[in-house]
Amino acid sequence: MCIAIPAQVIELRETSAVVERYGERLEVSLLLLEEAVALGDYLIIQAQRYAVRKIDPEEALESYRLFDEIIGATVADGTA
Amino acid sequence: MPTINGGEGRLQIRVTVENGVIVNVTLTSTRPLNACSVLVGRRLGDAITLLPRLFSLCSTAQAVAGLIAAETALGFTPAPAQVAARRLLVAAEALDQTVWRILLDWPRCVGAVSVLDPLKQLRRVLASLRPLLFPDPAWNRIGGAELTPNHAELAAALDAIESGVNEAVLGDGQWVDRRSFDHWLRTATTPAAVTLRFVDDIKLSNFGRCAVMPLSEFDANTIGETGALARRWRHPLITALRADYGNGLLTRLTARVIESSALIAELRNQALALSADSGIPLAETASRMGMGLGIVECARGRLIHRLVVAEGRVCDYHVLAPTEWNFHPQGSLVCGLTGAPVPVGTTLHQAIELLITALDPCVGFELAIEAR
Repeated sequence: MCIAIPAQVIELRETSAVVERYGERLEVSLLLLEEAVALGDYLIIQAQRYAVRKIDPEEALESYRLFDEIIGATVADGTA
Repeated sequence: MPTINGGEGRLQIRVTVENGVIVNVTLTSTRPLNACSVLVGRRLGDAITLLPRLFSLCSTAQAVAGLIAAETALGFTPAPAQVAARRLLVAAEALDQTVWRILLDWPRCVGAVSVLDPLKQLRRVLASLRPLLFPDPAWNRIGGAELTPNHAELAAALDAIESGVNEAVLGDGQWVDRRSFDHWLRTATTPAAVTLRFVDDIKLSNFGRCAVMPLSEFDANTIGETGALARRWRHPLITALRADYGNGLLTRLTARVIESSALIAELRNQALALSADSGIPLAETASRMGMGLGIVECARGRLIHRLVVAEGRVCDYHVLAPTEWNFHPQGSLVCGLTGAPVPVGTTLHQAIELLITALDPCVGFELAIEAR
């Protein structure tokens, strides 16, 4: 299913950014974003390729709390 | 902290080739299928509110499927205007995703240039639709939210969407029949035409052809296909292309182009059914026990939510996403590839990537090809 976990910007390039979430680093395009992006911002990524939305840190942390539960359960029951 | 492919998971597709033919396809997924387990035990209204956060991709379709499931479980029928407003937002999201694929991903697959500006402009207008219907950002309330459609601005937005999509996807061409489609295919310069022409020129139109049929009704024992091709299966042009290429790549990609026009028609149809409505707040008073199914056709196909509620709390919640069908081990991708000859005019990697992109999984994928 189409879950999309926020990813934090750790490096900015010309039209892309390197983002990180749960130990995975990805280079994603920023070309579809309307707003400016800075180091430390949280982005929603689509299909591991494009940043589609910037979200505020509180919203990102709330999302991480949810996904921590999901990923913890996934690892525990071996469905990953 | 656990690390499993960034938490989101992905598809791993391994293809084995022997004597110029694909002899085996294995498909494994690391997508966490138990995401909805975090909803169990929560109050129903809270769980439904969380859906767009869990599913940031196709979040509108996920929210609406959850609302339908919840309202069905509670034995509540929302007002027709609320249903129309939700359907309009789902169609808008599907249009965004469809045009995204056509303008960004298809050109990339065939080595052409992606088209950004029309997509950004379209996304801006599509994003403006929700506030024209629901003034409160928390529109996804069980029982409906306050609905105050701004008909004049909505009509202007739909006109802008239609002209933007037509220009970016179809260009000057209009499809009336197979002949006008063939003319468009040979002459148009939009990313859609460039991609379809590439497929036709290098004789990939049949690639991925298989016997998997569209999902007609929900049936857990049948592996069918869902998505644009299934929805447009009986469209006259698709019927004509199926006669020549079955459900191969050209038919499949053309169905997605048709989908972009069909979704605009859906936006207009639903706009006609809109009227002011206050909604009925249900979540706080819900105490009955019930089970509900919510079925929504979203960009990638049929999305199903199933929940059980008792004493106002979620006891069980499951989601069946389109990717489960189309990327099932007996689904369209695996059946379409198994037994297919290695194409001559391009690399096998490019051909398979096009087919995967046409079927459009909701997560990223890794493709590995090995010769035996």
